[in-house]
Amino acid sequence: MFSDTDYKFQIEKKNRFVLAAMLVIPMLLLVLGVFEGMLQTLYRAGYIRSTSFLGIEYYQGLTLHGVINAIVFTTFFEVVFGFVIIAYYLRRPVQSRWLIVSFAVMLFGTLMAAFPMLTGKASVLYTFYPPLKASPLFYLGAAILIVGSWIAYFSWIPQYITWRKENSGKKTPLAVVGMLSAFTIWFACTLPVAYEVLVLLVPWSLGWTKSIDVVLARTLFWFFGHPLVYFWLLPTYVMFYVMLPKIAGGKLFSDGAGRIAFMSFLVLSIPVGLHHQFADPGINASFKWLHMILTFAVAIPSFMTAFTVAASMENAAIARGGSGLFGWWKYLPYFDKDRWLFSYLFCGLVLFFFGGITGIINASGNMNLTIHNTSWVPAHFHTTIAGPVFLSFLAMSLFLLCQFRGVSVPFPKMNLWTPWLWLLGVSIFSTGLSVSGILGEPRRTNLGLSYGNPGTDRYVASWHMWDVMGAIGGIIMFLSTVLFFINFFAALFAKSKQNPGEVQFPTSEAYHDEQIGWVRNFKPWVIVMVVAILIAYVPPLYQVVTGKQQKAVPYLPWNPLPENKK
Amino acid sequence: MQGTERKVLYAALILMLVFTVLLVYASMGLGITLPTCNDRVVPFNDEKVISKENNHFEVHYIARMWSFEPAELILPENAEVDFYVSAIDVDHGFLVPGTNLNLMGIPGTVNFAHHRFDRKGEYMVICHEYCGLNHHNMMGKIKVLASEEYTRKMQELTSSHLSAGAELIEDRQCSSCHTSDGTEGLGPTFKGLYGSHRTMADGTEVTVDEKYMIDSIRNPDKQIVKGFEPGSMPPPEVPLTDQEINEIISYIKSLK
Repeated sequence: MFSDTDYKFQIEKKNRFVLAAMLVIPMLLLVLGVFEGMLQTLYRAGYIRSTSFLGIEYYQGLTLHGVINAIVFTTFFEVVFGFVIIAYYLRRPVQSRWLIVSFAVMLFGTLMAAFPMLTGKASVLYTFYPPLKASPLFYLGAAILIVGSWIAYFSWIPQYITWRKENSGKKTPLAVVGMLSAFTIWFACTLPVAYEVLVLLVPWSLGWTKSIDVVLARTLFWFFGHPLVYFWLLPTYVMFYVMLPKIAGGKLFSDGAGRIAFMSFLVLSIPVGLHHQFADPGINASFKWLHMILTFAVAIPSFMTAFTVAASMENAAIARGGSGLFGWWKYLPYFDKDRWLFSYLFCGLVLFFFGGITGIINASGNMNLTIHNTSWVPAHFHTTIAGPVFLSFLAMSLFLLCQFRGVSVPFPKMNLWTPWLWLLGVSIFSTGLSVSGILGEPRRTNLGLSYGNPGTDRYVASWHMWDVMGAIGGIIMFLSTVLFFINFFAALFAKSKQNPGEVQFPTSEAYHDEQIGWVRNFKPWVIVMVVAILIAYVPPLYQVVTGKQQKAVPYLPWNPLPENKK
Repeated sequence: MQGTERKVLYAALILMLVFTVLLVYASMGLGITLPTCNDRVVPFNDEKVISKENNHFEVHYIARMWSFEPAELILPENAEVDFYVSAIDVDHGFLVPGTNLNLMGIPGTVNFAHHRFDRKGEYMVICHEYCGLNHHNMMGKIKVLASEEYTRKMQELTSSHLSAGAELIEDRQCSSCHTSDGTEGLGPTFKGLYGSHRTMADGTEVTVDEKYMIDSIRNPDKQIVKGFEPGSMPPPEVPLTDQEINEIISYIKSLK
């Protein structure tokens, strides 16, 4: 995967211990998270007809699956990846103090939120819509986890500024541009959700305030909820642009395309959240249309990425002896133990092709009425977040752990099959859920006790076979993660052979190394980002805040009477 | 940027533009519109089915943990219906598969959609937003009948109006946990409950008779059935009168 020209970077013992811990602890939680994910498919297909399984209630399990997989695992991974990328590409030591502080804060928040989730005091799913109420520890824990990741981001900015001063005239390494874009989006979009949590939810959950504005809470949540997906996606794009072409044996088709894509995401990721609220009352349809058009705009950098990545792979295939308009596809290293990262990234790309198309359908306001909140939606995001994002995060976690510990992948053949098995599983799972979603099957529902149970008058036969397909896919996905965990934890305990802590990233040269002045500086783009957010969010927020809606009192998930009337 | 790349960028822009034009057409031309702010109806706590001229209807739907009211809506073929949806406790969904009716019910607001039922048959009304531990059982029905059949059905309903007990079971939220059709809820179903044998937490066996039912409604924790926790059933918010309890028991007796 590497060449001798790739820079080698030594991470000292203390730092790599902390970094490895930040990979391993969420990975332990992820074992529970993916297990609960598989159970969802079994409940939905009617193989489990119960309110709970192994002591975890259905909706509690669904909350754990969402929070662990999509918030805890992703945030921890991205902070680790960010620390290593910044240090590696800016040729600077990892800042131990900030690494430890951010790790401690994130871990504290995670444990604080995990406690109510595991004891059934926060079965409100990962969107935590009021007026269903969770324990205040759940909201606070999530907020503290986010603050921990801010600390990491703040520690990278001075390193970046110093580098710029010392290297004036040079382009910032593309990987650094990508990670800083991701975390700038993250910081900006977590501000509204921090407001929702700390100002609206926590005092309400503690009983200090009696009622809450649900429309406002939902709007603030989705202010965060969609940019969140670009926070997940951009580190994957870093791997696609910077590493994939090199691993495949070629060059990045265009360096400028990467920079334009990252800056476009910076501007367009946030002002799109209302497309999650197309079916909501209390928000004017004209604002929904504005966000719909902006969502279409944010599809453009992904189209560009699809082209650039495909062109880079063509470049690699030609270097490997391929030719022809389509013939070159046969020359890529799909099953090459020495280039195993390629298999993970490629399988992710295949899934993302479908994720992109279904995403555009979701964003299309009136088409959204067919599939809003149906199982089509999880089918979609299992080809995006659980497609390229999950596969690349798993791959990079294993890649980094092996380098921190100085070991090679313990079971290379099994490792090679893992992403292909995952691709197969998700394809089956998402096909099943897409079809049943179009037929009207709701998401987030314990179908085994109602619509999936022939013993009730709610049974819908036309959905059932698609849920069986979902379960087959779910089981294959779970098996794939088991293979991964075996490799990951074996790497954790394997005996060090090479020099532990020596990190080396496959780094592509650019085929077209354009010098584009207007994407070389973050400042103007951050200003445009702020302006775009203000244009997209001030009018709807003003309308919501001055709206006539009444406020809502808290309810607990198991009681149809308000909490204070128990 | 390189030449091919510029072409790809333009192609992507044109594609998204075509999509936008199609969506505008769907909205303006086909009338498939998104829910918007609605000040015509303020949040309500009562279900209503208002029959207007020319097959037009206005229906006020209540979504609550864990039922829709009206639980079963009966309409004639080609009915033009204005749906107003109010969630009175937590967030709910309102999805009618096979139509474009797909709304969120948000407490404190009223959502709106219009639909013309040009196909006879039975439609499901599904709550598609998680609303608590019995969410999966929250379903209503819409029956669209041929117009003669609809007229006959309406006459039947007015002559033998729903028993007072059935209404109380809805109004006092017994139906949130106890179904009337034999499906599993958080509590036992009312269907076939009367006269059945239950095993108590202390192992004794009792027959469900009137005295047992009166005790269980007044003071749910007095006798705990095996497998249930004390406190699972909240006692009635406002105590029920003897008359009301009798009406409920007569209704449960009728569910065999």
